[in-house]
Amino acid sequence: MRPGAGRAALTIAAAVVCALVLAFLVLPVIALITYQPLGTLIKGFGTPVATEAVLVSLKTNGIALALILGLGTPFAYTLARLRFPGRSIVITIVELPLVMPPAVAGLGLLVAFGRMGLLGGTLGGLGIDLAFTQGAVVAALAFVAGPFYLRGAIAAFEGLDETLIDVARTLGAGPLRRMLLVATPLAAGGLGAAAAVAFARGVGEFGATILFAGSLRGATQTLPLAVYSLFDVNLDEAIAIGVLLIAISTAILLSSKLLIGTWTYSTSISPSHDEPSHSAPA
Amino acid sequence: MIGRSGAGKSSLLRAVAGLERPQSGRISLGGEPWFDAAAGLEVPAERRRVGYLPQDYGLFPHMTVAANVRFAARRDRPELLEQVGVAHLADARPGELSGGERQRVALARALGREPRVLLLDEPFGALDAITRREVRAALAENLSRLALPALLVTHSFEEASALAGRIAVIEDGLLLQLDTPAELARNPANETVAALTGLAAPAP
Repeated sequence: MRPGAGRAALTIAAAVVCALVLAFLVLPVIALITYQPLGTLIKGFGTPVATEAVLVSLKTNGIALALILGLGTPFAYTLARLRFPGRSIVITIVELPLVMPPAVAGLGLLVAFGRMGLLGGTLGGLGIDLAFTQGAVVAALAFVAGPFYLRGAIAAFEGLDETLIDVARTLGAGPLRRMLLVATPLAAGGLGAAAAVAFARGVGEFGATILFAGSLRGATQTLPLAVYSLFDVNLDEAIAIGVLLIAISTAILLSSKLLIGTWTYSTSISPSHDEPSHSAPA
Repeated sequence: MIGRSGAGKSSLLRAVAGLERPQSGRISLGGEPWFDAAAGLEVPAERRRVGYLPQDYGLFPHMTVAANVRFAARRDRPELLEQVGVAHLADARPGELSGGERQRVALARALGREPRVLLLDEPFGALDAITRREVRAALAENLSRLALPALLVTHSFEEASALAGRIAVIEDGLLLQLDTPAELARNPANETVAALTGLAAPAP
């Protein structure tokens, strides 16, 4: 084969592979969106099942995200900056939910916090019956999605310029001021990206939620759970809710890309970057 | 402190700042002990009052100049910016400043801490030759006005002798000689010192 023909063949082969991969990824989404006429689809968004599921999803995911960010950020910061014996074990524990099948996670939560479970007696004594409540949904989301945030947050904090934290120390800042005023703003880009991943994972969460919280309409039935419960009863409506989920996920993806782009600072100002007097974002 | 790269000058500076823990020895300022390996004493960096300027000045890029100073001083200190001549840059971000301006802001911020000693790591390393001379003159003026003890790390004997009352020559973590610039040039303790100080006479 002449060299020219060889290169042409390679280009065609590459194009075919790319087209196949793209088609495989995009076809299910297109199929869902085009399954029904647009009018029917939009009506499907407004049914009681759909609206209840949206409310449950937004509320539980919002609370879970707040918990993940509020507790996860200081935890990630500590883990990133502190070296202690057993640190690698802690990191493994943090990463375990990432590889655990969600249904198994749900089972674990049930067995740990359910009425008959490990902490069931203690919680019951405090008047808390967690399983099959909205609290259980939040717990499932935090367990499954939290580690996605933690992994990204730890990496973001580890990637910070040590010198800036050192300087903060010499300027008299204790660990709290260093974390709040220096590390977190500087890591904001990475933290935001990690939060977006965790939120998206939470919105799509199914296995742990259905086992630990059940699928009770208006209470614990999130959007993915609603899709599943409607699947063999009313396929059209299941598909409508599915499209709604795709829309929400796409919105999360796009807005996080837009927002996070503006949050990322370079954490060190290189010597070659010397501005005489005009403005330039670092 | 002068010496070749890797001699241990920066580590020494960081140890004085409290950012690195020496294996042995003592560090004290004006009789107040900061570190004593034998006694197991180590005052954390946050409680030593030092003004530490690392090689790239370590300004917080997400804060304005004024906010950088406020971080150190816990309140607004516009007079510090005036003292070093950057008051007009109070609302600028570090990324918008020239090297010389950044150095002055870093100095103002360090002063916000009301330090008892200044620690400067290669303060001119990031600057071109022309800026270096201007900034050096400004720094010399600031240092003499402040009358604060200062430890300065540089690889240039010329710069050291222009700024310092005494120079420590360090090689491989050891102190070879501690003397005035003139004395170092006249009576180098050994060949290494002679090589580092060069044959040129120190600046007057």
